[in-house]
Amino acid sequence: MKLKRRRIKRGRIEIIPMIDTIVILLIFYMTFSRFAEAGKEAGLKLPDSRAGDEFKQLPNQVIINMYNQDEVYIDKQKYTIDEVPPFLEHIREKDPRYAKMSLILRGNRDMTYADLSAFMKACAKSKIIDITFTTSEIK
Amino acid sequence: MKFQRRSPKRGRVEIIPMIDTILILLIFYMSFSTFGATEKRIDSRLPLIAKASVNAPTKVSLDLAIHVFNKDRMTVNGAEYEANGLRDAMLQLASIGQEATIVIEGEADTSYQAVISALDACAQAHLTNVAFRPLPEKAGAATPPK
Repeated sequence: MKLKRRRIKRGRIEIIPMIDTIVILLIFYMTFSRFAEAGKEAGLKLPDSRAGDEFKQLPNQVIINMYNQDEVYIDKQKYTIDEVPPFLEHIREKDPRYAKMSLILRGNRDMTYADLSAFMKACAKSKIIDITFTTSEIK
Repeated sequence: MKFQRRSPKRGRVEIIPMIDTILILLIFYMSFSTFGATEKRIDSRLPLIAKASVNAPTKVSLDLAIHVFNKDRMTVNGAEYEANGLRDAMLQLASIGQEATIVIEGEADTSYQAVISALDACAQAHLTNVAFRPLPEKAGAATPPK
């Protein structure tokens, strides 16, 4: 008896679903890169609140991500709280957008009032009085 | 001469790529719906702090001082509240139309969440004139309320 050999199917790449997937992944990464650009630290756990407006960053606002006094991130650069006023002064001089600077504090919920107090003293040193606190909405 | 007619191709919907795309879109929107709901902002001005740095006496009238020990214990001019009670007290204050300047202060180890809860209570009552009192330079703790 002669057995019939099965024909080996040749693998092929499906072009159309690949293009679909690549385009969607592209949009996905483009959007996430925007989050990274906005200077937000993804690892921060924000405190909860019920009140508050929708988050919006104005051109004169600088985002401060703070875990504690020794771990402050601005545009992904790590600083201590004492290094923040000279840095703010530097960007204020460099960029006219920041002449009337205000800050957005994204503080970790585990930090203490001592950390917040150090932040406020840094604001005072930089002569900044407009502060926006970022919180996470209670659902 | 007889021409052969071409049979028209019937359009068809590709199911497998459609499922791929829908699934990826679903994941995409699910992730972004989380981002959309998360972040809020509470604005504040810090008039006391600017003065504290130059060690000058403050000129801001202190109508109310909220001292935050933790989320379950806050005092307003001596009267003790927890976070929800504080919100009710602030709402009551706002409803009688009294303008208040609120100063939030805390202990060195008071959690940031507790401070934001106090700020949240003020924001819910639309009391926007809120300031923070920084801790004294060396003592390490704010003066407790009388």
